[in-house]
Amino acid sequence: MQRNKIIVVIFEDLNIREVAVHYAEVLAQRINAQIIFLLLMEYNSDSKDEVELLKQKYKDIILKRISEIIGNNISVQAEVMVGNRRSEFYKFLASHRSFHTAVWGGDENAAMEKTGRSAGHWMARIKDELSCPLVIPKKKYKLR
Amino acid sequence: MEKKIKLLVVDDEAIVGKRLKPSLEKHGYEVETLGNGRSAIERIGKKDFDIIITDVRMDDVDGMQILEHVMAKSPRTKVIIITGYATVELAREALVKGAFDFIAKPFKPSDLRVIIEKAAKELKP
Repeated sequence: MQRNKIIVVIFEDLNIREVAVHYAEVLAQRINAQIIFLLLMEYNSDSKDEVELLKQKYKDIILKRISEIIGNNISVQAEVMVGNRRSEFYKFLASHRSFHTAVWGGDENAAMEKTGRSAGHWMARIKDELSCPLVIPKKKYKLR
Repeated sequence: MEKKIKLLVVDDEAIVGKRLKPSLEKHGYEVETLGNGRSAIERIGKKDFDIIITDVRMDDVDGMQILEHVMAKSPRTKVIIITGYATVELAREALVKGAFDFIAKPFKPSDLRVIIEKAAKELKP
């Protein structure tokens, strides 16, 4: 069955937050969507080959980890983008059609705060520009 | 001796060019800086640059017009768009029009340097 809706789950590192993955899984089942797990990582290298190898390695790690968390009846993809996170996220959004939902898989507080410790976080500054809702799952969500 | 890569930085915030020029020259680039789009278009008409880094929002001629001009005149030139007013639409427009990369301000100098080095590598035959 074709899945036209896409959910994107955004990570900043390989610390895969299960609550975000489960949220996306349940939502994907409910609306018949596919999920893209996006890792935005800062890594400085001018070697295209090195970056491509790293991206592939991290994609494999993400997909393996995801397969341990969710069932295999959901279509999933992993994408890794390397560089300034905010800029890379803009480029990611620019090169895809719209998303049904974005799910934040990074630090819970970072994407929320516009003032205080996390005020300078790139996601806190960019989230209002998203054309889809950004969900920041907390441990106590009740979707099931 | 290896030929120096010719780089043009266009930004109406003088501080950007002022900061970037010495740091890029230290890395072996030949750098010119200009503070407005109109001068940039004139300069590009007289000299072939390998890499152009341009801000988007400028009076008279903006960064997107510079990008279009460069793509029409010298498609081998790599154009890197920098902006303090990043949006998804702007990123899309820049990439569709042929920008080599797009970077939202504020960024770390090393973020830009890595992009410049990637662009420089792609220039080599």
